[in-house]
Amino acid sequence: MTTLDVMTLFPEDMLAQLPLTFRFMTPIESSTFEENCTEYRFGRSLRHFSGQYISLGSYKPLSNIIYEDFLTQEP
Amino acid sequence: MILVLSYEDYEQGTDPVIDWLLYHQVPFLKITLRDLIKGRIRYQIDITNGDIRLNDISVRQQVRVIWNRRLMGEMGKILPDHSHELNTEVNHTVRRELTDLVTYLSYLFKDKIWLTTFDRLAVNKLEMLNEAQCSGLAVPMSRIINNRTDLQAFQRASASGLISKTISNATTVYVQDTYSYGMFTHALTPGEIDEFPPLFFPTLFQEKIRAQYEIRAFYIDGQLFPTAIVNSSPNKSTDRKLDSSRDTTHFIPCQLPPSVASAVRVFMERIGLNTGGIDLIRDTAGTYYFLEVNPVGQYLAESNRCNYHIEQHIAEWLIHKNQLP
Repeated sequence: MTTLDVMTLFPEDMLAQLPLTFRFMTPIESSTFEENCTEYRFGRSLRHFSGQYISLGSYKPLSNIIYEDFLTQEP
Repeated sequence: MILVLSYEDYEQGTDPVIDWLLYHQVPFLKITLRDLIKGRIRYQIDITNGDIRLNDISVRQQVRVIWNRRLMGEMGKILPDHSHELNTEVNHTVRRELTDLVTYLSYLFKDKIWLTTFDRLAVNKLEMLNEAQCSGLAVPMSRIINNRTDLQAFQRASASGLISKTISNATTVYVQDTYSYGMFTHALTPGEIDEFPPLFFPTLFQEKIRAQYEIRAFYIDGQLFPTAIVNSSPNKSTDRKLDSSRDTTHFIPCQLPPSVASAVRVFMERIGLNTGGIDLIRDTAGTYYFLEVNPVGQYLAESNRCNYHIEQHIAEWLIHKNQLP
């Protein structure tokens, strides 16, 4: 995801009537914003095809390793 | 029979579950908003007898479990788009008609087993903070403020600084030319605060938590699947969503401390949700803070990266409930 520094799309007179969150908008290059349902789409499930079921295997091998921080006892 | 209410396409949380329903060869019916309004299926709602017949299937008699997964989310994409000058008003009326129709259906089938009832599809972010607090979860100090003086005082009271975020979960992405402009959680600098006008539109501010990492925990009927989202970069974004595709962001299966897991379960029961994605943050002192809950949050990224197979768990939950005597 390619982003630029925060900025705003709106002029000051309009910002004066909007929540402050409108002053801090992060521009994301749409072609890299994969799940925004814009015209740039990287995934698609037009209809359900049973032939495709369970076609995606997990890429990471199973292990019993968990983040060790969580193994510590609570105080 | 299981009834699935969802998008027609491109709803990443629905299809993997349907894969498992097909695998187990259980009867199910998937209905989308397009099906209901584009005349693709023949149906009638018998208000007098309290039933809906879809292609001659009686929902009242045959459906036992309903998975309510973003049925209304497609509304914006399928409303009529006429060039008529009254298009806005027409769409408003059509939207109300459809909303009341679907709300009635949820009323009609309130005795069914639901995975997310209609009245819990959207929750109030502020109310959830209070509910989390009452459930024993820590929450960041949060205030809605409309003036610079109080904001500066809040800033002084927050040793680690402040963030701003939207109050609602409304769409906060604006597409213009080749860029999409999003309103994400933003860490405010003292200079920015000093430049705000004396009075402004009410905005949500929270103390900035010194995060060690964030956690997305998927919840279904008491079971928790927590994922630690650990960013090894020294230059982290305040909003982790902006870093999710970076190489330095790692999704790691983890366990919540028993007291936190227990508080999350109490919270979900208090607010009447039997599924959802819960965002937590663990600070450098080891305290877990509740941030938000999304009743129909996406889970597939964490499921794949942590080998949780959450989609399988959802399907098996639906099948199990459908088989109850």
